Amino acid sequence: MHRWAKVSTAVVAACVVAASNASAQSANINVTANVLQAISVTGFRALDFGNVFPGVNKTIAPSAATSGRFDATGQAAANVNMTFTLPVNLVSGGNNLPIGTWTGCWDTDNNPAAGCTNFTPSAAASATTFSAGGALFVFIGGTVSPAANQAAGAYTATATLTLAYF
Amino acid sequence: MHRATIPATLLSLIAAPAAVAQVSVTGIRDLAFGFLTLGISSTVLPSDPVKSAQWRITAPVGQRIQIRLTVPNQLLGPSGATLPVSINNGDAFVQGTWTGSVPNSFNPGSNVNFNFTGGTQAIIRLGGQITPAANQRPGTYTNTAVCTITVF
Repeated sequence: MHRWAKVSTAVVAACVVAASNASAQSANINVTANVLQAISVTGFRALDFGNVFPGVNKTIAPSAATSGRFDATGQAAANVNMTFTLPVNLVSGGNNLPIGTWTGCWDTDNNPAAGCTNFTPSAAASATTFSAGGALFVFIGGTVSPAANQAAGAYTATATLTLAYF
Repeated sequence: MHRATIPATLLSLIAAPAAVAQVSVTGIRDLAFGFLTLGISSTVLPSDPVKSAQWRITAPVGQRIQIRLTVPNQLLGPSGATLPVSINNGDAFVQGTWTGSVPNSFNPGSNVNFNFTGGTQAIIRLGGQITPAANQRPGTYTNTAVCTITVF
């Protein structure tokens, strides 16, 4: 009787250990997120048509010295969409000067003469990418079309660039 | 004669855990919130086919298990920065891979039981919500979620 009791105890103990090891299992996964650098965009230079004459269209190319320029910083090498709010007229008091045929190019340095990628500024998104250093330069040009009887004056309007990661 | 019957009973006790050992859980996919913009919330649904976390459980048909998730309430980032994460009721479900099995949504903060009624594999999926602060430090944030299954 005594010998049986010892054997039983040993076997039951072994079962408890085995069951404990096998009955609970776990596996890990990672939870991850990447917080991007905040985007900063500033209007660096106005798009300046200079003097224009009644009845004579004038075009400024994105690569011109008087093109509009936006400077932006953000997450290195991240993709962003550019969207624009563009005027259809420059305004001087109650007079309008039509503007259109917008052109643009973006670059990772501030020299649009080389390596600038062309696009058409509009309310529709255009994709671009920050440089490895997190820089982006956007240049815009356009054409104004003064009427033959265009009133003299200083005409202005505002163009807005919005950048958003995608 | 009486003593001869005892070893047979003991052998059956020893054999029982061998069936339990067929149960396993494996982490298949991370819960990946991806790129976040400062101050803007991002939600990953448990049904998201790409970003939701996923574990696979394997067990014999007829096996009953208890599932317990241990989920973080923050992610850890650069220079000791933290990013709160919300993983709440409805952010998890378990579903058998066999035909006719439907998703069983559950609270990741509570245990849930599951029966392998029609097959040998089930999938757990996990989502959540995250909101980086307006001044959140940029960088990569991570933490760990654990799925523990218990056979009973």
